[in-house]
Amino acid sequence: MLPRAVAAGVTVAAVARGAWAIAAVCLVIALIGAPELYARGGYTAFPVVSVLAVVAMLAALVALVIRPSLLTIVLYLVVGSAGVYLFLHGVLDGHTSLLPSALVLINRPEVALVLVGTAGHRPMPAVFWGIGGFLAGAGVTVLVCAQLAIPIELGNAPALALANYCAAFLGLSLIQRAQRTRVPDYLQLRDQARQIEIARGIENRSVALLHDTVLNDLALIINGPEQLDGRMTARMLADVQTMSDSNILAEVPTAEVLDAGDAALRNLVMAIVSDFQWRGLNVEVTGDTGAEFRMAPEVVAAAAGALRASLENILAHSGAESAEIIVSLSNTAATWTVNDSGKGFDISAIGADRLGLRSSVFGRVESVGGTVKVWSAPGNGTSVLFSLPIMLAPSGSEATLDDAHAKAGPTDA
Amino acid sequence: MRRAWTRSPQEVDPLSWFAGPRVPILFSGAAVAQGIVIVTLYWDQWSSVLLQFLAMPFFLAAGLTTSANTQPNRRQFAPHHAAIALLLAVGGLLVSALGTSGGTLPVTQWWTGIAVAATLASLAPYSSAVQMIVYSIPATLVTGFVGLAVFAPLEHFWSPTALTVISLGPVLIGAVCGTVFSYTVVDKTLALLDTSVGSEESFLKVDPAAPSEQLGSIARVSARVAPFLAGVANAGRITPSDRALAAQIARRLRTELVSVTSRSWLDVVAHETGMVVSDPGRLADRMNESQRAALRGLLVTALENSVVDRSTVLIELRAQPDGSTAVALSIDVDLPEGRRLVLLAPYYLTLKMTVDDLSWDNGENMLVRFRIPPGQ
Repeated sequence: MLPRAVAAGVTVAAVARGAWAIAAVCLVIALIGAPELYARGGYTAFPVVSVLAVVAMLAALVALVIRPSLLTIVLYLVVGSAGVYLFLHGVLDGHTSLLPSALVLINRPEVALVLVGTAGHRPMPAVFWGIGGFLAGAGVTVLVCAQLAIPIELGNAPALALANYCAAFLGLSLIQRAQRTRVPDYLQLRDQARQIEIARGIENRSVALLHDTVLNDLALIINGPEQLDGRMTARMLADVQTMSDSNILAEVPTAEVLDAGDAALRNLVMAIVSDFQWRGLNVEVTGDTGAEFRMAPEVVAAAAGALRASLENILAHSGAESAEIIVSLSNTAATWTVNDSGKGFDISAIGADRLGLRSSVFGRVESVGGTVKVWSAPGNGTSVLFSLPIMLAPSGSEATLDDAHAKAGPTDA
Repeated sequence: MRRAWTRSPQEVDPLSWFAGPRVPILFSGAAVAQGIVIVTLYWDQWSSVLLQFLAMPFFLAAGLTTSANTQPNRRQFAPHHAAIALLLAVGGLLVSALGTSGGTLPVTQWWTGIAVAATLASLAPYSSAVQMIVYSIPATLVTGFVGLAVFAPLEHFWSPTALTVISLGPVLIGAVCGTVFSYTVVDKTLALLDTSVGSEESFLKVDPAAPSEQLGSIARVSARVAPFLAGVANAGRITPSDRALAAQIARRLRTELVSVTSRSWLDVVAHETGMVVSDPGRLADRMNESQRAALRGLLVTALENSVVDRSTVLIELRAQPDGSTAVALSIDVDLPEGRRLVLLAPYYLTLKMTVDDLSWDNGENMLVRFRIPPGQ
């Protein structure tokens, strides 16, 4: 089962691909339908520039599908705006009588411009890009109408497309928000079940201990001689000592709330994020970003090091321009999921000499009792999820920024 | 990647589709809302506005049908479920066509193509890419033919081919989008699942200073015993009153110890929550870790909700002749079915992944039954 954050990213990518497929259909309809309309109307030859404009839009769309990134989105919007202008101008110049009847056909490129999608894992940027595409298309249409001195005819289709497109991504955003609050975290439920089992194991060991010590001593008092010999006395005192050592005599403490206070890691994460943003990787941190918990200094160092190494890998190898860090917290562990929508890789094909993930993430995290899981496949981006134990009770071993900086050291990405 | 064509998104990641059952209702609602706007804007150009409004419930019914058939407590969404939704949509299309034919509406403003497309697209999360293609072909052809029949006598600007393409355009778009969506989700999810590396283990810490409530009770008894034992040992002799007190403490401690050792994990949950467990054979301990996690999630969520009377929650486990364990959970929930589903469906889905023959009978007393296979 995929972690929720990874599954959410897959869903966003699928909706974006659906939008691109519709955009492609719209462009093909324009490419085939508009010349047919010309031929049927007995007009002069269909302008080559309009055909080339749509072909250029299709090429930009293919680039976006193959390599979704900020660059290809911007490229699609720029090429698309120019394409809509050239297509409209070419089709309508001298043939303004086509309006308004043919509007449904000649505004197809404008509809395609709305369906720009997103290169990331989150739905909301897609909404903003869609609105950008709609405004660009509308602006270009107004410009063409003004140049050709014809009434402005935007048609319903781009607005309808924008409404449906935004509804799809907004709906997805709401569903994902609802999932975060309502859908159980299966892995957390499993951990709780394990904790109950461990607690039962402790209980059973305690029962065995009491049976072997206290109950035997009580039986001795009930049935033994009036005068205790030295061996009996020593055994009873030893049993009392054993109970004290095993902590079984401790009163049940009230549950202690995890203490706030470890701002060191948060500051460190922010410093790492800022560093990578300066280096050209747009990093977004979401999830339990305000959560407070304590970790041992060496664990903080491992978290910071693994985070840095994961981002370093994205910058060096993925080709992605953005990454998302999702922080989540359970009673026993803090988990970071680092997502990118880059080119991904075949994990089984990594050579033994590649130390990036193996030592900088796996080695570092596992050395302090943490776990790492990586999902990646060519063309499907990469998700690195690592969990590290948090301390159950506050203590004086709070990590400091300096400790963590000192231990994080250089990465080997 | 043949599996990416033949499996549905819901199959490859059921938990991520918890909110899925609402999607068809949202889709059909949005399509009908657009229909209302278009019908109103072109009020005088329909041959019958009444028939347009009569067509709308067909699409809503299609969405509701799909939604009902994709509820977590239903069996897997099947092609005949999709066929019912699509037939309802085609019914709406025909009613709308009757109310459009003979009017003056431009073909480009016929709203029913969008509604059929919405019905088709809403099937995507629960259907494989191949199924989406199969559903799309008749839906697209019927819409195209009906569009041509209705608008050919009315429209002179467009050729018959163009009229057909314009009529079926929205359905074609819905079909392409739905198919691409289904394929992409399955393809990406399977690719990521197949190639993931790393440990799934996580950390477990049980604070030794925080034993369970039951163990605390033992600890309290034991805490009284320690000074008593130390006192007797230090005195070096046993008095009659020592013997009487020792017998009293021993009885109580033995009762506590027997209670602890005879409890299953489910008894621990019952002890914490107040529900009633009937498990004479201690069959709960046959459940594996995943089943325990899922069932505990369902129980705790139900018991923590104020509308559930804790004392009415009863879970019974009985051994079956084939070695399996039958489990029945009954809960009095004072909630309508929809809200009950919202509350418990995610946990139900989690449980569904781990046990056999899970069923959910709704009524005043909600009854969840399942079977734990033998040999676990």
